[in-house]
Amino acid sequence: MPLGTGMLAGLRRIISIGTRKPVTFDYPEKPRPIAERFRGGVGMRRDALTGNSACVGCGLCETACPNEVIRIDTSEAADGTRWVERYEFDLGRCIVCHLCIEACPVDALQVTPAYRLATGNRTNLIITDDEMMTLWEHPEQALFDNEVSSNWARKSASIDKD
Amino acid sequence: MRTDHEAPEAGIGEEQEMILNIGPQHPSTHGVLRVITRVAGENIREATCDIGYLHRGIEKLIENRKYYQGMTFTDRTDYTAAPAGNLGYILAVEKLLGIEDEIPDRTHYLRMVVLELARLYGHLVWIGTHALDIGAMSMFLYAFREREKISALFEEGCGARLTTSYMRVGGTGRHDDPPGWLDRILEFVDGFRIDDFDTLLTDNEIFRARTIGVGMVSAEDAISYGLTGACLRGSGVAWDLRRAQPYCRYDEVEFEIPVGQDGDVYSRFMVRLNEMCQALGILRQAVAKAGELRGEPTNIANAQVTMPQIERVTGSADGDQAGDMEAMIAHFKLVIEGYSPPAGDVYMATEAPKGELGYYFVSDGSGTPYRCHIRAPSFVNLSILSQMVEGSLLADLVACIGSIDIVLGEVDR
Ligand code: SF4
Ligand code: SF4
Repeated sequence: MPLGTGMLAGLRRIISIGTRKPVTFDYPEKPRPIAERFRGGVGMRRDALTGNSACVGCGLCETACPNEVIRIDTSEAADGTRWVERYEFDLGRCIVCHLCIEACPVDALQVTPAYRLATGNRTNLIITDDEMMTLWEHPEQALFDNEVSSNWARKSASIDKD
Repeated sequence: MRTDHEAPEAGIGEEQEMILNIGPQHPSTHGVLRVITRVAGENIREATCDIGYLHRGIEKLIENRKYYQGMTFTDRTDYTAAPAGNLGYILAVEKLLGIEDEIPDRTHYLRMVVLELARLYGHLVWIGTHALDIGAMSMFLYAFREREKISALFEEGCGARLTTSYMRVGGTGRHDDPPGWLDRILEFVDGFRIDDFDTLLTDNEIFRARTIGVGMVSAEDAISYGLTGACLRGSGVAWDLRRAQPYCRYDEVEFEIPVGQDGDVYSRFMVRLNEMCQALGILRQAVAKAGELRGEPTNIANAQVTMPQIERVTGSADGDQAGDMEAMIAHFKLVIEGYSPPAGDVYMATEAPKGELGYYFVSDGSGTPYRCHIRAPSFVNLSILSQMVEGSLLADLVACIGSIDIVLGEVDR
């Protein structure tokens, strides 16, 4: 085979590949379609009757989580009912395996397609059940008022000016 | 860089030796691998691997978790093909529990589908980065273009693009295959242009010059170093665990074991390229079989390991029917205690994209493993690097590292 034949064949192939349709998306200008089963941030269901979180404080999610993400404190009222005093969720440790969701016996924890969970301040990452209910209700919104994204917007505006 | 501060003794034109560190932050060492080389000019006199920069103690983490939790860490060993790690772990635990014969056929084929997708997924990273190291830039882009499609399939079927956590002990958990997923896999298989990679590299003169006759490993050496996967088959040994010790349903699908002859970088390249073709063939068969079995259960009916259906625990959504007490107790027990395999030990090896991936468990009868050991193919295969590159040129080191196909998440664990 004369020298360079293989490379010429490769070059021809590269040119033909150049005529194929692109497979990329214009993210973030256009949102990417998300699969139905996509494991996003863990949301909390709001109970329709009480308007509070549907969690009953059983603590199974705390046990099932491999990374100690969830922390629950419960208390008992005088009439013997159990209340969730505090429900903390450390987004920074969560690997989104959803074992907690599989463990919840009352379907309080919910799969959401939310993936805009970034923040510029890591203490924000410890969220409570209120924020998790927001996640469940509005998974399409960014969870935090994002300083990072507003900075980005400012920067691109100044670039436009120049 | 000289390690001593004395003036070099040798004069100009004479050979001087020096120690050269390659990595841990070098783009072509595929992660945080550090190779300490003693070089004389361009010639490598000695090369020693220094590993451990990505050590996270995954084995210990697994030992401190219940069996069902440990699965999430296996995504992070070979993260270029996460389902392969999941499968090795799950099969080992199933063997330890003695339920491996109860697994339904449909589950086996679904696992096979995901595993062969993972093989393509891993090999695409390899071909992209290996070619990039050798200087073929565009290959990287084409490999990752195809890989993106598999990511989308994983997202659709397993719920995540990279860390799939797809399988569960005793089946596939809440996830079987979503409607239309298998058809889209077939679409992907039909549209997969393996000839792109073939045309661009196989006959490319530069690629051949960089790889033929480089990094030779004889069959005896390959066996005595314990190499597995394409590193072993590239040296002419037709050893594939899918054939030698069939698991899932690999004895019921047809495929060939590609073997190389020369044991050089090019043979290993050809073996992996052919393996990608074979994976496409297996995918077609497995998708067809899984499609035939649609509607059958994917989880075993063994209440010791399978979670009860969540509707039975929660009751109906409108509250008309309360949850089933028995199911709820089983659910609580499974989450809090997990399952306790009988005391004993078990080793289960699977053919992962990188070679023999084995999980060794020692159980003391409790809900957490007493000992977990991961026989990582990348770690064992990397051991031959020193011998492979001794006496060769520095540039060949990069080709050799690429052809062993390591991923540091698995080497260091
Ligand atoms: S998704 Fe996984 S890591 Fe995150 S809180 Fe649930 S169990 Fe823990
Ligand atoms: S498992 Fe569900 S109900 Fe129990 S504590 Fe967690 S969120 Fe609440």
